[in-house]
Amino acid sequence: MNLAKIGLSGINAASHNLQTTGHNISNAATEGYNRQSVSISTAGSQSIGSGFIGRGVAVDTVNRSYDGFLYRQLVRAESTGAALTAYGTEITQLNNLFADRTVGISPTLAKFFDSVDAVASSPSDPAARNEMLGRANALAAQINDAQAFIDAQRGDVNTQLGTLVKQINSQAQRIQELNQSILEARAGNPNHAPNDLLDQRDLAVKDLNQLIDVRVLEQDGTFNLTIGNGQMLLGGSQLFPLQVVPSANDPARMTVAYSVQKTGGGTLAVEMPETSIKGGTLGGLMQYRYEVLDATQNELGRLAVGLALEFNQVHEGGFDQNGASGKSFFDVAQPKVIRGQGTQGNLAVTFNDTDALTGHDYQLRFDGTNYVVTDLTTGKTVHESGTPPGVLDGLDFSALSGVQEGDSWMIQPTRNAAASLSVQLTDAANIAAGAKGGDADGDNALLLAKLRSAKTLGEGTLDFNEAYSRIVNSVAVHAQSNGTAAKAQLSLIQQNLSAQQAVSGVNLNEEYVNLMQYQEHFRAASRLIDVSSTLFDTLLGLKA
Amino acid sequence: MRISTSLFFQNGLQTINTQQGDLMHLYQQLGSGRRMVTPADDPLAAAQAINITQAQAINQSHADNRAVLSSNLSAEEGALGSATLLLQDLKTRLVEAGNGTMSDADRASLAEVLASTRDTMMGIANRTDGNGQYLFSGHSSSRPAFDENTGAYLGDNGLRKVQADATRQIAGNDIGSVVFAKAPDGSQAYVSAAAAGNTGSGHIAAPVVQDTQHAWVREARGFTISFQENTTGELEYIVQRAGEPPLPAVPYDAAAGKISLGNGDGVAVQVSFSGQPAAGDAFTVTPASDTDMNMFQTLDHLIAALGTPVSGNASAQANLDNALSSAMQKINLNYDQVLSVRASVGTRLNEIDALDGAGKQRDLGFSNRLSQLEDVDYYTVVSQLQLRSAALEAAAMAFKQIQSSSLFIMSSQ
Repeated sequence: MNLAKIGLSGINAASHNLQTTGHNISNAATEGYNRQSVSISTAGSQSIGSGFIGRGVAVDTVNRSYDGFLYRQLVRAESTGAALTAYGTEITQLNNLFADRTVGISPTLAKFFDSVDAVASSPSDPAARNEMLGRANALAAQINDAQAFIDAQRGDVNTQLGTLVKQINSQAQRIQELNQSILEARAGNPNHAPNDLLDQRDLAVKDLNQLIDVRVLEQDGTFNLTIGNGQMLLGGSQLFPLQVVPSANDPARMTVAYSVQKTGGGTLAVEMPETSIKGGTLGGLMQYRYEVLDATQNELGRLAVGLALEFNQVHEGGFDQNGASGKSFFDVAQPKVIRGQGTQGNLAVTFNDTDALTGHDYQLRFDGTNYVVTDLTTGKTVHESGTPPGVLDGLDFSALSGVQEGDSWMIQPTRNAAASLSVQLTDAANIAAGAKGGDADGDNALLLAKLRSAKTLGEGTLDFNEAYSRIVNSVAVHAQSNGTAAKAQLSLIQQNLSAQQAVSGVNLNEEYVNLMQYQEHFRAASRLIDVSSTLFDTLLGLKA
Repeated sequence: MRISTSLFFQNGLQTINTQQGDLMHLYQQLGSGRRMVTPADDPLAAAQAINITQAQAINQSHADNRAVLSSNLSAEEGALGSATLLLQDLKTRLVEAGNGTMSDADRASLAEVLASTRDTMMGIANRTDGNGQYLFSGHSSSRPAFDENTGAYLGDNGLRKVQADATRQIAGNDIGSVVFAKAPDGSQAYVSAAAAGNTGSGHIAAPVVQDTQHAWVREARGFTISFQENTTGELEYIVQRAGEPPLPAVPYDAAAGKISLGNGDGVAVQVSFSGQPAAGDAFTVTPASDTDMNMFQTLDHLIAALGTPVSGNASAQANLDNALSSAMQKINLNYDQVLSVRASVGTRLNEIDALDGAGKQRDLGFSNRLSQLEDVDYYTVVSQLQLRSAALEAAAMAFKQIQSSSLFIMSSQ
């Protein structure tokens, strides 16, 4: 009798093993699956007069081979990898825009100044004058186009922001549901771990990290999630979803806000500083936007402002074919001033010295005693005193009135310049080629032509073409370093994956051997029942 | 170390992907002939290439400017060449006219020749280029340089400067008043003339500078020689320098044949003088730089002088001779000036040639540098292509080999 029971326990154990092995084999390709194994132990022994007779085998539980540290390392590496990939996808497009140096802004700029030279050599030639006007329009159009491309990318980022935030929220909700399921499973079966549910939850965390870097705090078996610098995303059973909101400083710019609980119920959306969103596709996009898009757009704008204002200055010093004083040749937008929330005063900023322009964004604040001007790109304070600011970094801040405590403005001097650049002159006879007047007087045009190689930007270090080549170089450097980092990250991910898979991965050869082993085990155990039955038959057959 | 099955497949895939990615980049390099497919491949070289392109474009622009300059100066050279021939012819005629006496008919025919020469010269001075712009008007190129009737200069002093090289602007024109109405720069010559109402038969010839270092010569001020009768009825003359009180009278010595203008430091200018001037006659000896040298007005005065009847009247004859002498002196100086301007045009054309040569050299340098930065080295890329293709094949084969050694597959065979 006992023998049958022992046999039964053996069959039980073998069948558990076989099923788990089958589960492993079926899930060999399942993402996030940690291979499972059955832990068995002896079923104890019975104490009888002649010794302790064993009672067979007992199944303890099903374990999953899971190393939390290795898994978290892998997740973090993949999160960084996703950020680099997202950044790389965007910057590749910008990089490709500049790929061919025979098309785009540089050759159009060259052709424009060639035409100015032609007018300087033959000021009375109407063909040369018309050509110059045509080339000027082409140049303005090229610069407008480059800006339009950047604006399109900006719009694309805004759209992706919306999609990503939705995905993040739904992943977080999924983790919340899994938390619930795991609690219920544990409540129903307190001594065993719900391995597959745990696998699913770990996978959901990994997928969420692809979108944004998330920290996990395990508390009583549930996962709490935090993002950024510790803002709560999922706490206990409450979800604090993310939202896409217009930025307080610049309503045209979409950014991410987290939710906090308001006293008295309800939630409040608080804008997250862009630099604190790291990791995952969202982190990569945000980094791309403030590191590359903003900077490139500002530098392009600086080029447009420099070209327009310097050219106008020389042009207005000359005389056209009708003997009239030169008018403005180019037109470009004034610095963009965005009023902060609740600001009462008025501020208008104008360009003072294009050579001193930095291409950075600024913030002006009045805290009651001091006027503080901060360079938003470097973070440095440019002006801090009780007197209102005058001319700083090539910008004139003095048109300031009605300032109250707490007023603030964001100033984007060159952000819109490239889109707004246009040619104001429509009549070629209005081109002020002469310095004194007279049909063959090209002296002013000679001065205009000299602007081509004059170092008018960047504190006397760059001419227009060099300012452009700097933009190309800057984008290229970012693209190159991203490419290198992505390659390095790829190999890091591979290494982490190897380490994690060494513990958790299913090896089909191993499972095959296990199958053979447990199959034999099952056969052997079932023989025991056979033998027990034969013994019983023998006993029954004794009474003749 | 344990290898999971999925890791194995992933690794294999990763390797093949990486090799293919590298191969793709090599294909792009080969296909486009460019080492940098995008600026990210070599950011510094990309920026340098853009900068060098601008330098090359500027160089080419200067070359184009020089072509315009060259054509303008050639047109001017053509005009000056014609003017030179015309002036040579004119000088010959004037010398012929100065020899011996002319009959009224001779004078009339000479006047016609001079009028025709003047008109031809006016045509040259008011010549236009291919675009209808007047060559010698300075900046006001839509107006003729000279007034056809009065011969006055109508243009301005503007030089049509062209940027021939990075730091060199060359004028593509010369000003009409400088070419046709000015004595050569630095000329210390003096020009003599008889006053309009002279009644005597005094004949004044070309002045000759005796001492170039004399203060009077260096100050370049004109002299007036006025004839009067002294208390005893003898002819004497008074020399007065412009802006100075008159010098003491000197008795006129017809036999001497000359009048010396000088002071205690010696004789500054000497002028041949003959004939019998009347009291009240006046003559001027002025520096060429201070005299009206407009050749059209010179010719007009001479033509008018030729129109006055002369025969038998000694005074009229003397006036005509003086007018002729004056005109010849001035035309000689005009001729020298035209030659001088022609030489300057020639110098400028030479300089343009030299700049063209230098510009071509520079262009070659830029092209070379660009090629170094951008062009792909076909040998390197092709050999790398071979290497990578072999690596890809090896990786794929290795994968296939190991993959087929699974226990499941082997046990089913």
